[in-house]
Amino acid sequence: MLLRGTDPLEVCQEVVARGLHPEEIDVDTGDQILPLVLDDRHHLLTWIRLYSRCLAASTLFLAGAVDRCVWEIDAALIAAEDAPCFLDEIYLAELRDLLRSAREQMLAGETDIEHYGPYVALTEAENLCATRMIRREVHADRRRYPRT
Amino acid sequence: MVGQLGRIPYERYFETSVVPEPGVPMHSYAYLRRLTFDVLETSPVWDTHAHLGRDRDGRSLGLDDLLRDLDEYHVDGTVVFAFDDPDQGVDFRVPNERVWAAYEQAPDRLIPFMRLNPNGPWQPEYRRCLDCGHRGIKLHPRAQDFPLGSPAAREVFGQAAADGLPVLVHTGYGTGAVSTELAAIARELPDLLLILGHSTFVDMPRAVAVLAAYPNIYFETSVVGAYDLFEVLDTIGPFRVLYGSDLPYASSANSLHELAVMANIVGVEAAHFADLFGGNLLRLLGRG
Repeated sequence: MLLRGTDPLEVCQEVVARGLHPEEIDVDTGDQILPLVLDDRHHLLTWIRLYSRCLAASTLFLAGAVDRCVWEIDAALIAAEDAPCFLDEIYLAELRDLLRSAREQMLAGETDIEHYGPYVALTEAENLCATRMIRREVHADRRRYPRT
Repeated sequence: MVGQLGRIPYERYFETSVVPEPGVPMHSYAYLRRLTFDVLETSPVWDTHAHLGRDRDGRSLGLDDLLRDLDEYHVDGTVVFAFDDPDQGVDFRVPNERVWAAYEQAPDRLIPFMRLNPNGPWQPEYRRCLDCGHRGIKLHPRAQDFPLGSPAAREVFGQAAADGLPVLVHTGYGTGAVSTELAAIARELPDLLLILGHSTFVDMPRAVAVLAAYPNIYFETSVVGAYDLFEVLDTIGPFRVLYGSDLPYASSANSLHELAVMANIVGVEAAHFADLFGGNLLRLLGRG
């Protein structure tokens, strides 16, 4: 089913109000048509890809390999550039901000193991990716093992 | 398949209460307010972990910038202490004095903790800060290079317990597995209020299993992996978890966001969000 809109909140509220399944909705933003959300496999792969890039960047920073770290950040920025679905663009925009922040800090000279700032920004980027993956898993788990 | 179960699990994909509106970025107050069930608007919000002054790594934070960040997200105030300051000398007196001077400019917004070096002559500085009115102690085992279980550190813990001062210990970036040592300290000093900066993430998930039994141990949430924060919230529960940011290294926005999202995912009841974001800290300090 195709819904029109650019406001994620309104689109999500309409999906709930009409009892539609999120995985069966495409959204026409006027500029493009995107799935509202990804199915489980593509959702997981998207965020694993981004998480692994962030984790690699963080590890390279801790190893003192700043050039390779920036290379990984650039790769993560490429992977986060085109929204694969309507709703994830919100989270990808935030991820890009965190990655650029880490990049700018390193290019400004925070390149040593004693510099804590890039590590923090990359940890926050990892966390954003992890929370996107955890949300679905926890709710799947809760259906199987509901809280008493 | 989902339809056969009778209900579409919308919360797997989004939560209508926390989907950002157009033009409202995730780091905006408007979004974070909704994400925290309006706690930012309706309850005291206090940060347990912020630095003032400057660090050997080149970072710095002044009072005006600190208050600007807090104001943007309606954070009422924060615990503050010195960085690993290049002017620390043998006893942190100079940076502790700077923190106190900032406190005097904003006494309703700051809770000053003294930073000490157990390897140095810490007792006179401890006494001076205690007499001034510092409300707690910050220790950093990596930066000041001491084991938590060392005799010198245990002396600090013992003195803090005797005087009723909480101790915030760095248990994050660059530290090793410390839960066994922390458990021993908590067991020997049941009156000591021990705040674990960064929630002992290096020692997860063992740390929550080992430390859950000690009611005098609190977990502070700054710069903690999402999966580790899940363990803390799920195992320890909402009453011994303290919101922290580690300003200026992380922002209030990202720190509030991560704790709120993970508390939501873990299933912490909305009624307990006020405890996480300030209530627990204020009670710990006798101000709640």
